[in-house]
Amino acid sequence: MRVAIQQRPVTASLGLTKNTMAQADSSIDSVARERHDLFVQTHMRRVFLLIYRIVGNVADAQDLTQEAFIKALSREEQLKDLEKAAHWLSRIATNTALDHLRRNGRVHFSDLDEMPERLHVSRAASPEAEVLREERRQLLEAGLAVLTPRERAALLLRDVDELSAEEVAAHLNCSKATVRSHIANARAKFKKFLERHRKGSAL
Amino acid sequence: MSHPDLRTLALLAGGELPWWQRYRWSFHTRNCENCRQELEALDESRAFVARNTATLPAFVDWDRLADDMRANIQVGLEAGEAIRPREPVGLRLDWRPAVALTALTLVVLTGWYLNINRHSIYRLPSASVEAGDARVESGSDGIVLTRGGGRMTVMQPKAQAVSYSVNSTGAVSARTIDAETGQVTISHVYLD
Repeated sequence: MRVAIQQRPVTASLGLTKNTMAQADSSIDSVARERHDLFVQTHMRRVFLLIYRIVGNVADAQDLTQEAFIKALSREEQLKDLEKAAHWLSRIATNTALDHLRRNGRVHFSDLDEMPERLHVSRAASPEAEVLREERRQLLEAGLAVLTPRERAALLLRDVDELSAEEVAAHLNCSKATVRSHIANARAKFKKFLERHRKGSAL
Repeated sequence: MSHPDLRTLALLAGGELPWWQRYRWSFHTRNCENCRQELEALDESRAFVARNTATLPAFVDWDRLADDMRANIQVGLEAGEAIRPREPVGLRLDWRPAVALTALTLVVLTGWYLNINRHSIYRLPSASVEAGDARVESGSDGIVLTRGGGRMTVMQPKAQAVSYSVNSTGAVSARTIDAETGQVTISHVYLD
């Protein structure tokens, strides 16, 4: 008895050539690329602001935002659920910023004359509004600088990103009790800072 | 009257206190002017943070900065792609389907083994009665009667489990249970 086994490549039976395979690959790449672009576009400003408020200067925030996105986008499987991916990205961003501060010491909010040349002054609606806006921003940054990095991150995630205390705890890899302590300290310190500022302004 | 400290009020402002504390201190702040003012100041400072965090420094040209970042992210991803080893394309079994498949195989094998055993336990190959030249015995198809070279079989359904027995009245009995209806059929073949 003779048994004959015949094997054929599947692609041949489907009539696919090397060329069409390459086209399929490139269309998969372009779909992934589009998904990446959309993800970056949707979250970039939010992530940049989160990191900037934690580290306190634009140049570092730029580098760290890029780093956070590259880390996030390198794990394609994490992007399937977009809502989870957004949380995951915030978590990466927070930890990237905190790691940076751990390595490089205290937060330092940049002054205007320290900014790189390529950052230009934006054109505001009116000079008065722009001055007022700038004053408030500087006040915010000065107030945030009073907090520890973890207090700052907890405050921003809870009061700006509106995450629950449990989610903030997950982002910061600590217990809910610790997060509550960070949040309570941060709010109390920031309130005292604003009061001091107002008293100083009134004098 | 005891008053909450500033940290407790800070948690009350954001709704992070457990409900009994929240109830207690909410009630307190409604009746205590000083604590109410503290709470309002905390609310105001929270609102200030939330309102102004979205503001970028005036010297930042966001569009240009965002373009730079997008380009650098793309470069970073391409560089990472270039050095990352490609995963082999092909069948990749996750551990969960593998465990499920193994469990299913075990169930099927156990069922098959028990079924084989049930048949082998109930089928008694040597259940037989003899009287003169006549003989009644259990066979593979049912109860077999042989006499003087002649042979007759009382057939039993093959798909069902059959148990054979010999009783004291000189009969060979076959007992079958219908798997679908549960009906029991007993056939007796007597030799006088």
